[in-house]
Amino acid sequence: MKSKTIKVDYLARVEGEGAVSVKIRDHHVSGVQVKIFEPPRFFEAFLRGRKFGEVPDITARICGICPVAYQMSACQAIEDAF
Amino acid sequence: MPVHTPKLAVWKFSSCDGCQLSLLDCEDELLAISGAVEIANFPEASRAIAKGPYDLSLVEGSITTPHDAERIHGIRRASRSLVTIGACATAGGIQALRNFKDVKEFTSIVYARPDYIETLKKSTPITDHVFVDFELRGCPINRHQLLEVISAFLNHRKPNIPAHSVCVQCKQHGTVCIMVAQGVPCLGPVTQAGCEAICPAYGRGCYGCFGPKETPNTSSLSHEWSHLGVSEPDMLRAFRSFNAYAEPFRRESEAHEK
Repeated sequence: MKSKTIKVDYLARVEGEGAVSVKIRDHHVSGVQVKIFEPPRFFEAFLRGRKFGEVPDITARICGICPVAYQMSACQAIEDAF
Repeated sequence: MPVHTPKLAVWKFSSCDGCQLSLLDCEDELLAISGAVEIANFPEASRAIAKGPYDLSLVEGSITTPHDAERIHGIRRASRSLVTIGACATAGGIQALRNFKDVKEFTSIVYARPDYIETLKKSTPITDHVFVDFELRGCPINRHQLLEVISAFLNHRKPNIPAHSVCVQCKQHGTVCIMVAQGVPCLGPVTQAGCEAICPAYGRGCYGCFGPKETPNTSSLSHEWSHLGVSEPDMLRAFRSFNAYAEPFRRESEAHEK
């Protein structure tokens, strides 16, 4: 029986700090562990009480690599609400 | 004797990665940068890490966990010059909105298992923890200003980053003042330049991404805003965004808290 573990202790080229560990046994993945150590920023909490027009500007700051994804989902959520 | 290539390191704390992305965004200049410096630690670009000490460290993000409050000291010790980049590193960022509220309540409503979450009560700028050689403002920073700062530090000179307001940039671009001409509330008079005054050029009021300018008169601006019909809660929230915990903006938002 052959086993192997691939460990990446700091994921590069992504937003958000994290690590991943993949265990392989007989050419089959037997276990995957993802560890997220990016500090929490609490967007869901501090968005309460803001005017809806402010929301896309704030959610854009969730990720500086893909801000448009968060702006668009904020806009769609607001449109759904009305 | 071989020529010493300066080592550049980029570090991340609590942030969105957007400011360090500005460095990768320097597409036309990137080859020149990598020729002038050894990029020794920059996980957003590469997993290849070289050991310190580093000639210049760029620090993005704010301090929000006990672990990060320790980690920044090691980075300071390993860096000859340390420059903080962006609203998170220079003012605590949008996540500093917790500083006005109860972080325990925040944790309980966001996470299913709050006991897994380790976080500090306040999100603080890097300068609250270690000595900082220069602070580059912006949410996100301007890449041309970033290049200026890197070039200045590598050549042992002072960075040429103006501390004046967004208004000056509107004047430079010939943008008619939207607050005077159209009655649009604008934070431009108290906000530091650097964004090239994009929003007023499109008829939108500045919303303070670059944080307070040098000696801002925030109470006078609030007075102007009240003449435009802006309510107290709206003024509070205007000063309470990406640079909410920067001293002048914090004091002004607190003045509208009832």
